[in-house]
Amino acid sequence: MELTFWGVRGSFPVARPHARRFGGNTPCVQVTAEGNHVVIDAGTGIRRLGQRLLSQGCPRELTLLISHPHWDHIQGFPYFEPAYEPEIEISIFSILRDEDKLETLFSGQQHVAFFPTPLEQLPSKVRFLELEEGRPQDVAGFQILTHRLNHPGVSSGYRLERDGLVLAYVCDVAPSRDVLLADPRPGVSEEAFLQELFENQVRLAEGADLVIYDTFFTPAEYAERRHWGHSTLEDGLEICRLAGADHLFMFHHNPERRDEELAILYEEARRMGESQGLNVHVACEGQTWKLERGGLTACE
Amino acid sequence: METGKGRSDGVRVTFWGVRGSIPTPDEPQARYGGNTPCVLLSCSEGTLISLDGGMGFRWMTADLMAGKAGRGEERLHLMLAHCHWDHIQGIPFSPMMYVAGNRVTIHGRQSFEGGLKETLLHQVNPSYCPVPNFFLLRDVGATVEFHEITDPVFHVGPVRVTSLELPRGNRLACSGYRFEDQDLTVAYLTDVEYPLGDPGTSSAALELARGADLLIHDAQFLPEEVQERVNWGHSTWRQAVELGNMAGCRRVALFHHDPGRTDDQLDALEVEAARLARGPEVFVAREGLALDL
Repeated sequence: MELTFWGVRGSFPVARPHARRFGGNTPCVQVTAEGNHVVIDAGTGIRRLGQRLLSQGCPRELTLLISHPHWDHIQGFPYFEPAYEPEIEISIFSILRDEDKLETLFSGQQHVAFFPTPLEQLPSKVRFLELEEGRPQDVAGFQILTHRLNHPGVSSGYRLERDGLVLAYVCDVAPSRDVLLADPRPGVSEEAFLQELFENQVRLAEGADLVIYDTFFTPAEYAERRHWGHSTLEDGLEICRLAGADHLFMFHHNPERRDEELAILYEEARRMGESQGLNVHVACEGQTWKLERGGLTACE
Repeated sequence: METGKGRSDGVRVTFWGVRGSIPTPDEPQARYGGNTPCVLLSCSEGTLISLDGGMGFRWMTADLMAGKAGRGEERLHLMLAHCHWDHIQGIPFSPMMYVAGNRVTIHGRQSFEGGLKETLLHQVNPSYCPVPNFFLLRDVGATVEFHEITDPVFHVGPVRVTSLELPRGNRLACSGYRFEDQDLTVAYLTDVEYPLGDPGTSSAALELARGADLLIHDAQFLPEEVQERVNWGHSTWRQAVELGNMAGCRRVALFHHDPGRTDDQLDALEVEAARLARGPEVFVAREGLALDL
């Protein structure tokens, strides 16, 4: 399994010198395995992924998994050039949504007031599909599981499994101990639902080789912004410990976070991880990693 | 760089976002900048006018937070060319919008059912963007007022503003602007596509740009690209210079760069564009550049 980070920044794209080293594009992660191909989230990073795909002979069928429809996770899609190729089919998945269907929201993003080409006029064949929560399904050569997370609205994380290798994408997520941010589940108390959302993180990361986690905040920042829907490294360490995961990637970096600050946080995180037998990495735009039975290696 | 002060001895123009379509936080665009449109005009009597609310608006207003905006005492006018994402996407992420006491007037033309306000409300629909809604709620931040432009001429403090609709191929029209303050004139014409590629066909463009000290103009495409991009709603650098020549402008800033345009290409086209100029000084707009007129 190989993964490439095309966008690692949270909230909005940051084209400023302070974010140049780790990258300013909003979330997009490409996962490939023996010709199978899945893209997680469609932040601005997906624009350059699309160009790369077209220059290398784009697969005819592309699969996108969308964690949730906040701008930073969908805003790159109108600029995804394979969507303008008539022979390409794009399947866009989300967790089952009772209202605010993803298709409606993608269509709203491309309303003529905001963007010149309506979704319905894209030359490629775009279809929207939904995954039932908690039921693993075979999609594009991976077994894929999704669970809801504690983040405003309806958002979900993903677990991708293939040949005994497991990658989990747990982002955007707030700690499930203080405030319920997710749309409530009818008939379930707030407390019980928070507990369920906490356990969902562990279910997604259970025995994972690699967990991509929302480490937007430092603990001090979180204390002041508990309703924003993001976590800290410490939350990620706890989930990985409970789930018995091997590698954690710090991801969805705060737009204000300066490169030198992030480098220091990463050094601290690495040491904290070591003390619990976890390998901590920081997601950096443009980097590709190879995950094999024997371990994880960075590709040049 | 102090930009928050209005000036009594001229107009300061500061470029905070010069990129078109989508922010490009990418290495090949790092020098000229990857933020989408935002230009700040600091005019007389402390009047601040932001041209567009692209991603540059986020960083421009963060800069204002060091001054009056941080204390909730800022007064800002935001003029929108239109409501495409690259012209509005910085607004919900602007820190000054979340400080009560600040006042922001958004000027533009209706482009969505129900008008300018409804258009901008779509951006902060909680399904997309769960922020405290400063457009609707009084207690979460700035007071926002909307000015749907119907009369082409209006005043913002001492500044006389003229706004006319610009041609855009078969797309919804865009608003172009002309600002006059203390005998200085800045014209802002972006997201414009001229019939037959000839700026001389647009009386609106000529009127707005006439004798401007600075013309900021859409230069998204290269002349050799435009044939294949009819009805995309943009101009070439050549058309920008031609309008500057025809309208007798003193300076022309090439603006709204294509997201794929590299820094090296911009360096090269600046040289070519300068050669075509008959009068105006032509340059490529770069993020961080401040000009005193």
